[in-house]
Amino acid sequence: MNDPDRTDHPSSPPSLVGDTGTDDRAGSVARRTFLGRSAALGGAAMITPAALVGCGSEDSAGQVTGGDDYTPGSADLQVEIAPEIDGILYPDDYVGPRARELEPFGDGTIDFTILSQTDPELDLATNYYSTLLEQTTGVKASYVTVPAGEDGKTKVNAIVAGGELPHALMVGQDIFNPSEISIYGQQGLFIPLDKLIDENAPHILDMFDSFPNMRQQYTAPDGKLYGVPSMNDCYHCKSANVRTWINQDWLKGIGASSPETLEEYVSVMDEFRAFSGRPDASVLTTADADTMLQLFQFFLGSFLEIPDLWLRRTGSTLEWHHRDPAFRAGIVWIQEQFAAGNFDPGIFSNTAEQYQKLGDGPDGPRFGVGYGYSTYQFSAAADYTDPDSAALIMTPLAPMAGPDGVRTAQWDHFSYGYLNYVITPECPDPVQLIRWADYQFELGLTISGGRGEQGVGWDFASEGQMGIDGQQAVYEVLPTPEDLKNTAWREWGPLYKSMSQRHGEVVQESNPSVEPILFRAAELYEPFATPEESGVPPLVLDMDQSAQIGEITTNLESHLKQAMAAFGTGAKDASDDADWDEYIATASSIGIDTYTEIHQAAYDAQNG
Amino acid sequence: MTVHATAEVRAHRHIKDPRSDRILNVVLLVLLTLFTLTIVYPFVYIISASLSSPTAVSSGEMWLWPVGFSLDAYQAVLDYPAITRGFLNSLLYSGAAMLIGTAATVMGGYALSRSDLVGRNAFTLVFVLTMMFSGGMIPTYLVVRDLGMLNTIWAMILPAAVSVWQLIVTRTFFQTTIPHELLECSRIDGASDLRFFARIVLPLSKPILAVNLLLYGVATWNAYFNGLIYLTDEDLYPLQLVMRNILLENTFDPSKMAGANPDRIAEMQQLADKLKYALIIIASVPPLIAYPFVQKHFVKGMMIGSLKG
Amino acid sequence: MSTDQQTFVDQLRVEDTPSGRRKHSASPIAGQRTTPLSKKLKRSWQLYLLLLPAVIWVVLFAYWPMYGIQIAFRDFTPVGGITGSDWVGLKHIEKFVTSYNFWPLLSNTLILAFYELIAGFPIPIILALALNAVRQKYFSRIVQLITYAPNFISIVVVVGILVMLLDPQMGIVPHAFELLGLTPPAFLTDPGWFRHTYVWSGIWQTAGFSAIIYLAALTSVPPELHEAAKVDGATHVRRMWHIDVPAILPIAIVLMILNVGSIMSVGFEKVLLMQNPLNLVTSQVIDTYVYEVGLKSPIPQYSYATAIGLFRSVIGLILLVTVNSLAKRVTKAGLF
Repeated sequence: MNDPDRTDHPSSPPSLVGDTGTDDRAGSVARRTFLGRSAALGGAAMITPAALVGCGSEDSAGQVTGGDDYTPGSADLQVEIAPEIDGILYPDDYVGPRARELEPFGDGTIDFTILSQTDPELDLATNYYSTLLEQTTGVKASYVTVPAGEDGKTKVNAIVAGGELPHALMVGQDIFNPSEISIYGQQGLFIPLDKLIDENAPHILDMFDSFPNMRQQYTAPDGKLYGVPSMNDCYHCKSANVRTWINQDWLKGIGASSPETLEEYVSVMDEFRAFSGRPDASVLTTADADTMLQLFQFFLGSFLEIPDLWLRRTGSTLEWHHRDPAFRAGIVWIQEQFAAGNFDPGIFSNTAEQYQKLGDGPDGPRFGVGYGYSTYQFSAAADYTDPDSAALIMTPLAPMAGPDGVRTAQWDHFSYGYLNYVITPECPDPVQLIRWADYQFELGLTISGGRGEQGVGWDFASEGQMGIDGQQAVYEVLPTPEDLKNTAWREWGPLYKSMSQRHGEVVQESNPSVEPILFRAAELYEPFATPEESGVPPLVLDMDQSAQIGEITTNLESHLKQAMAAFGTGAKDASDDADWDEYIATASSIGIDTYTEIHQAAYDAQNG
Repeated sequence: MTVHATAEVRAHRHIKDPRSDRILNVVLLVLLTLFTLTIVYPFVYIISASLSSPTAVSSGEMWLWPVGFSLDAYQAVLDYPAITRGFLNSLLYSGAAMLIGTAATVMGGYALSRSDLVGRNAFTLVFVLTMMFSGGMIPTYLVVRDLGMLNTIWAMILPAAVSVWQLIVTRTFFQTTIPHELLECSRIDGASDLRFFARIVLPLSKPILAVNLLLYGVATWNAYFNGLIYLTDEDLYPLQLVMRNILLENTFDPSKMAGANPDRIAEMQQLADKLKYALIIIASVPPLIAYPFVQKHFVKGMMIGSLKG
Repeated sequence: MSTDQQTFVDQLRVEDTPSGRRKHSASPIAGQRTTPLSKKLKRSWQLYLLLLPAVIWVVLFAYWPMYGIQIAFRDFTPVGGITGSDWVGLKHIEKFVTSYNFWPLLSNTLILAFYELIAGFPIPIILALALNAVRQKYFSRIVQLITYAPNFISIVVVVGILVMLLDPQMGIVPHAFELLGLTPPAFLTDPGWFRHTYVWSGIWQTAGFSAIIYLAALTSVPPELHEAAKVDGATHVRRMWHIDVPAILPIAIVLMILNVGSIMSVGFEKVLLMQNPLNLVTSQVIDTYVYEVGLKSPIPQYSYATAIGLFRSVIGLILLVTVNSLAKRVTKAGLF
């Protein structure tokens, strides 16, 4: 604790001092001298990031983490789960966080540093939710902020490489992926959390009890859990990857209903082509160059089960399914649609902006069928109160039956959460920080994290209010006044949004949002969902595997996109054996077999 | 050179212009006008877009003049305290970087331009090599950290204080514009190198001083990466970083995120669409205003004038 | 042509070379060739003093971090740090050079970079000469101000506008082609046209800004030279060629050499934004490839990226040294 040497030179976490050894220590002396001098000379304020003050020693870390020998689940809870608050209306089949009476446990003597993403509208130091959290837990925290997205990742990489670790990091979903957390955890950058959770986190354990697969899915291949998984189980997201939309105005114009088979699709396209109510410069079926593979995957679902563009699972064997004749048949069909003009060649070159321009045409959307994760993808001006908005004219198109009656759509069974909270060896008191996270798995805090103050941004629902799934709602989101922007966090912190919790939100007739539309879309797709058994769960890769996989994935993706472009523009012919064999052979030389083997090995390591 | 002489020269020129020169002038006028027009259009577009409703822009209705005129975007920009603060920070960083960078560059460039500097080529090579080889983000970060500059204004100024490219250009400028005779004369008068530099060279190098000031100012104004990496205090963020956080925040891939909130994504995208063009205009104003000041120093005949004087 | 002017031109061309110094052998500066080194150093201590700030900067911020290059030969991990990660020698460079599409990447990068270099080099010079030659100074100033402006628009917006103008369905440019009875080329999707679109839109954006240096250099031309040449009956074109061009030639050559040195780093962000599956054959360059690989790797590949960067730098250095010695031989002016 407060070892002066460490304060200046924190780049090697305690457990690794032995490895990096003498070089670094010599360097630290020289640097410290220089640092002192330059600060004195320049009169520049000496900045010692608060993160460096008060580092945990290996001894205390060893105690709380239980070291290498700890068996997850073996320690007893030392903290009781908080008592429930009465009078909250939960539907009968509700599984998720519950409202509880939380008592502060921290004494505020330590100023913990926690890294978080932020956005320009927020100031985490004065944010309402930050304040609420400090009151509820008694833990005093300062936030080291990084921008959201790729920039934030770059900055975190610099911070990590520079060795200035905060006490904990809320890494959201886009800063560290599970492989990174696993590798860095094994290298000693993060501490294992199993014993901490088992002893101090009753609310997290409650979630693990409700979702028995969860703990195992987020455990690193070495058997340890290096991050606290947050749950954000979104029903509509499960079909979002292939969600495709159809133009209701045009359907009404030709007096048809949504096609149920590919055959009907083709005749609808023929009628669309002849339809006189089409706006100028409109196309039939489209997407943009970034989402084209998703659109193709939607149609390929009418030829084979395609839970992922690259791999499918049979039992515990992973396989590249492009060698399947059904896959080729699907590609040949897509190629025919391009030749017939049903698919717009702009698919291969549209930018996201061009696609939105098609959707936001002044005379209604300029396309008949298109891909969209949500409506914003094809309509920048989406307005759910305006019946003339592309967001309401385009409605979800269900998967269609193929020539052999195959009718499936990718259903993502696995992405219901993510590891997003890690504690570092710099933390002086990991127990307080794990409890700080644990409290946020309570219903009220989870909602406040996204909506701010109870009674202002949200409130519990009253009897008779209906949730998104048509059952009794649990809570209601209130329209936030403009001047209350800095009241919530985005979804960066620990949170527990089970499907029941998400669907427990009151549907607002007065303030329509896209959620109910997407919910209905998911209901439309679910009957055709690919089964869990054929999907590949998220895999955690090690260093060597990670180094190989990036290059292969890049090349495979551009190979597939280029091949589709060649088939679509008629430069090559998927029904011609020579051209198709070339497609397969090139994928082999890129390393599709290595790709499959790496995933197989990772799958076996995690599920073996 | 006197005003009178200049006027005389002009009058003189008018009479003696051959016809081919007049044709050339017309041709140049036409070509330059055409080139300028290709630039004017996108600028009119950006200005109109900043004054139009975002819907009209995204649907392609707006293509020349504002459609659905409103000043909402500018109002929204002003509502962001981070933008005003970033603007002022950027002004400060650019101002300081201009002065420090130009001073180091002009002094160094002059020294390197002197053929009697022993080791001149070696020094030049030492500088040029750094244009191609750099230690990379992490080691540079560690150096800045070890110098105690993290999260200070110095991190925005010093790591990028000298542009080797400008140093070499400045050196070449001195080589071609400061005649040997001047140095010889001053040597005979017994002036030292420093004195010669301050009294003779600097007054002769207004154009390159102006160019250096402009380029350093503009480079610092446009930089965001050092701010991103070295600053943690959001109050110190430069404008470009604030802008980037607003405009690029929505570039992540929602399909890779569990439970990403589509309403929130749409909201961020609409905000970005709304602010985009107004921000571009606000961010371009200072460098555009700076240019005429620089241009003023592109006046001919200084050297000869001072030689004669 | 007047002798006055010829001397000026000569001076520009040869000043930087040993023979130039010999020409002034009577001068006190040239006389120092016989002075002992120590005395020379002592005499020019003030010059070293002037150079000192730049040297301190280059040592602190350029050379000190350079020890980081070694991660190209290690398997860098944040925990091991730069000096503590495993040494793997040439593994990363080998991996890149033997990778599936190394040759297409290299040739795409080189073709795009050389095209940009060669097309982009004369335009700012021509622009500067034209701006300098126009008699209506007011007009010239306005044009300067406007042509300088696009440099400040972000690449994202430039590409956005480009796509809008060139959109085959709704764009103005293809419409203009059709009005003239021509078939518009696929500016954005034809792999051949990708290079033209990329390079010329870049020139459009930066020519005005790049011309500033040349405009500054043109100020060193004494108006008397033009007047004298005019009296001799030289046309404006001739005067531009014989007076203005030599005045900016040294800077132009230096810029050319510097550009060659950084040739392998093509504008990655812009290429990325202009990429689509149809033009990928020509638009995949080293930088975008490294970016994509980094994006799709579960762990940031610092070492691999550094190794590729190093590979690029070495090629750049070889080209730079070659061009420098060529320039010295041909024009007697070089960088070092």
